[in-house]
Amino acid sequence: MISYLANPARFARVSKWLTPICGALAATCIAVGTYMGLISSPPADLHGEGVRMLYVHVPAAWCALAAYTALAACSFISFVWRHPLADIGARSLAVPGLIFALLCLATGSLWGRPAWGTWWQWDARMTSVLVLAFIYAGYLLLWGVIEDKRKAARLASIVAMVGFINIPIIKFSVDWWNTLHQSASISQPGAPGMPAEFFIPLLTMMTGYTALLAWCALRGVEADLVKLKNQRAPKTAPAAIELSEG
Amino acid sequence: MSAFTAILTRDIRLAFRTGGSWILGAVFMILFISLCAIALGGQMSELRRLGSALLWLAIVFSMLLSFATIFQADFRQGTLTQIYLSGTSPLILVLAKWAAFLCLGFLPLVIVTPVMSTVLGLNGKVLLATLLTLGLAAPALAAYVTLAGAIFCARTGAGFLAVLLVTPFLVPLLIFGLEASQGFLIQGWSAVELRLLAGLSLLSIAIGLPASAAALRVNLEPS
Repeated sequence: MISYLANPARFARVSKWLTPICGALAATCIAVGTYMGLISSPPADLHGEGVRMLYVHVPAAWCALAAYTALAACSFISFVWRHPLADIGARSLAVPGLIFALLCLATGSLWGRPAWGTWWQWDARMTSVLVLAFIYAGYLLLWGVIEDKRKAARLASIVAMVGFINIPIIKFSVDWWNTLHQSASISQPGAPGMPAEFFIPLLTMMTGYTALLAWCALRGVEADLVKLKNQRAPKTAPAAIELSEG
Repeated sequence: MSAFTAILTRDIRLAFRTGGSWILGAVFMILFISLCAIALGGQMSELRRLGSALLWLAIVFSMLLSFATIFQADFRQGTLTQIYLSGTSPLILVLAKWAAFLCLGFLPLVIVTPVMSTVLGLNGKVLLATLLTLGLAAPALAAYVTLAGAIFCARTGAGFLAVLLVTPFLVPLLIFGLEASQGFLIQGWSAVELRLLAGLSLLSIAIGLPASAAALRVNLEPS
């Protein structure tokens, strides 16, 4: 499938119908999920109304990680096969990824205040998401700073791969260091570790956020392809000679 | 192997002949520690508690900020391109540069550390623990600094960006380094954190040096 999509024209044909589907799915799921999360789901025992933060916080964290995984995969393809489409894909994933990581930090901080009584705590997961945001920021700045875009693409792909190997190490080290956050409750054995009235809106929101991420990435690739096409189009114009009398 | 020793001895000889800028890292470290002590109010009890972490931070920043010394001058003169064109593998080149950086960027700091530890009121055992963990982590720190140097060898004034790019990778080293330092004080040589730190260090070298070689190649090849 990768080699099928590697042709930009074919990719454009696929993304022409895939992008609106992702956009529509994101809009519907986020709208329905927001309604379910805010109105139709009950407050939780321990968290009270604060549990509604769950529906924006967890999907943001998931999307930040998913975006980085996809970015690293694109970088690998770009580094090994030097395919420009993979470069564009990796760069288009980085901006929504950074925004999702920051959203995750912001909502987590807002939730931490009622739940733990503090805006910030140097807890393992917060630290690792913060470090992930730093990695995104460095990656994007590297793209911005190096003028030769072909070199920038290769250097950025190296950094992205080194970062991808480092993320589990960072995660492990901060876990060892300090843990206050509750552990994963969706994927634990006997999953899901929460009643259905919380789980269904969460799942809806996660689908919506993932579709939103895909939509952002696809739109980014489409925009860059158009830009590339316009650059390459030969600009022919008759030579114009202006005579001015003066 | 001969290319490795040739590049390594050349770098060290050049550093000694060109005005001794290799000492600046140690000067930075002295200034950093002094400023920290002044900012913390000069309380010996406070400094003793934070001393190990301050030494670690001073060394990490001193090494990070001297990333440009590794490749930049040689890149501008064209020496790196010549070495690359002569058929030397970029990995050997990076390995030699990394070893030279350990000698020139890290050893002066090791010499200054005992002096600074007396200023911070650390006792001999804490100093030993700090030096030991720094010695274990320094090759990994140097590997990531080499990566920053290789990425930005064609660019001046990329200092903050290099720090931002490399800092995330240093987080595990910093955490385990200080944990190992604590563990050594409590359990001595059998502390499990020491072994974890050594493993992490080896892993970081295995990631950082090939990545540096790849980055250097990107910068040396015409695009």
